[in-house]
Amino acid sequence: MTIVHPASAILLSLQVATVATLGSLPVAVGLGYTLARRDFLGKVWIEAIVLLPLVLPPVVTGLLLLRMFGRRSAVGAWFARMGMPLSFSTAAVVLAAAVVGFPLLVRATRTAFESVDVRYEHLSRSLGLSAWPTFLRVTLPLAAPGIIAGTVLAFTRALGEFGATVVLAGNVEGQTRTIALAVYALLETPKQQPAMTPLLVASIGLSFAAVVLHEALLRRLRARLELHRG
Amino acid sequence: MSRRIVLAAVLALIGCQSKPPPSVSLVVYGAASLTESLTEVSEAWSAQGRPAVTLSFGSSSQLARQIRAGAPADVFASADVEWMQTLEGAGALRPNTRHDLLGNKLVVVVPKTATFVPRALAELEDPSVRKIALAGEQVPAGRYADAVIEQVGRTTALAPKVTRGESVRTVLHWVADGELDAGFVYATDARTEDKVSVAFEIPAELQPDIVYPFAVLAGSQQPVEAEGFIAFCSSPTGRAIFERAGFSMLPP
Repeated sequence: MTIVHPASAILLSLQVATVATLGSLPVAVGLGYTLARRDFLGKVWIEAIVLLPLVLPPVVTGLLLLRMFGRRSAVGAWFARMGMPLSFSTAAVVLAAAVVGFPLLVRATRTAFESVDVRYEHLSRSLGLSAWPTFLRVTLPLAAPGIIAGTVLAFTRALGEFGATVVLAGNVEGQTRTIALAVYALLETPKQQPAMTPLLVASIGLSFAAVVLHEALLRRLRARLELHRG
Repeated sequence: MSRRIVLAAVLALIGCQSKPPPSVSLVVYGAASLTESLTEVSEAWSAQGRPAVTLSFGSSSQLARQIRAGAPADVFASADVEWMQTLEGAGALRPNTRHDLLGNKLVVVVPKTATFVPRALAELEDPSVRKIALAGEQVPAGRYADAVIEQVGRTTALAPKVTRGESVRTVLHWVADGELDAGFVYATDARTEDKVSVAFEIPAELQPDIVYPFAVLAGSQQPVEAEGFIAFCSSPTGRAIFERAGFSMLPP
């Protein structure tokens, strides 16, 4: 009777987390760089708003997203007309995952850019490279390890998203039922379900691998910083 | 100054702990669709000088899982027989305390602002009905709705439009918000929400047998009061409240 397919849930989770993280990466890099290098009026507000999804209860984030991007909002209505509704669809799962992972991504990129010595940029400019090539060939490569570490962390957060997803996207097999939602659906079934085991193994395995990768990247980053100072 | 505040806080905490335990309240777990009526019944019960009632609402499947995991509840009011039987099979019910008290009907609701109102199950296939909300596959309201759709052979046709909520109340909320075009809920749910209207009732021949069994749980520390509460639900006071909410009272 229940139709929970562990394989499809695991695949969906991976797809969603990948699209959500890579999709928001350019925005996070731009924002992280701006926050690291520029001071402007209202900066603290931008910082607070970006961090909000990290601390808000995910169900509240989901409800806010539903109000902002649901079919009755201007944005949501437009996307729905374009054939890509942002609520109760796979796109909604991606949206929820992207929003909850975003703060981690911005924080990591910001810290990464802050750790890049501005003198390298000045040197590059004085040697004749203009702003954009300097960013691409000097700043970004130096910040890359930190950005990648943050990306891995945001990916893991996206992988585990539940609260916002269940409100914004519903729990539909094959469309919005990620690992977390599949586990929840199985908890509601009367008997112990064999489908639970692969879901738990995948969930723990993926999260563990991502955290190990994250730590390894950070260790390399630290080692390189020591080298620079030494 | 600050030390005095700390002292006061510590004393207050100690004070809380040394207070005599409050009279134990009855813990009642109820299906989401019973939220308003069971709250009202509990208030009437307490008004008669009986112990206060602590209520916990959710989908019957969620509540049954919590009960099986040892949640300290005294009474369970389920929205279907199957979940009650699962608990009975697991030895979680106090023997001979189960009463099938209430009946309900399944209806399809649409947002009040809807421009297209389907009048039959077949019309749910109309393209202007883009998304339909059902409760989860294991939640009673979702199970009943699945059975109805299957009986008319439209499971495959409607599958792409279906989205699933955690409980029947999530479904109601989404439709009331105008996020979804239609939803399967109980007739009693539809009455609690001004922002939805009933598009149609599920026709009598397809109408599932919706029964709400109430029972005292095996772990209850106050089984007599718990049985008293269930009896109160079917007393004239209780009946009046449930019937006003749209439930039918089943013959004992």
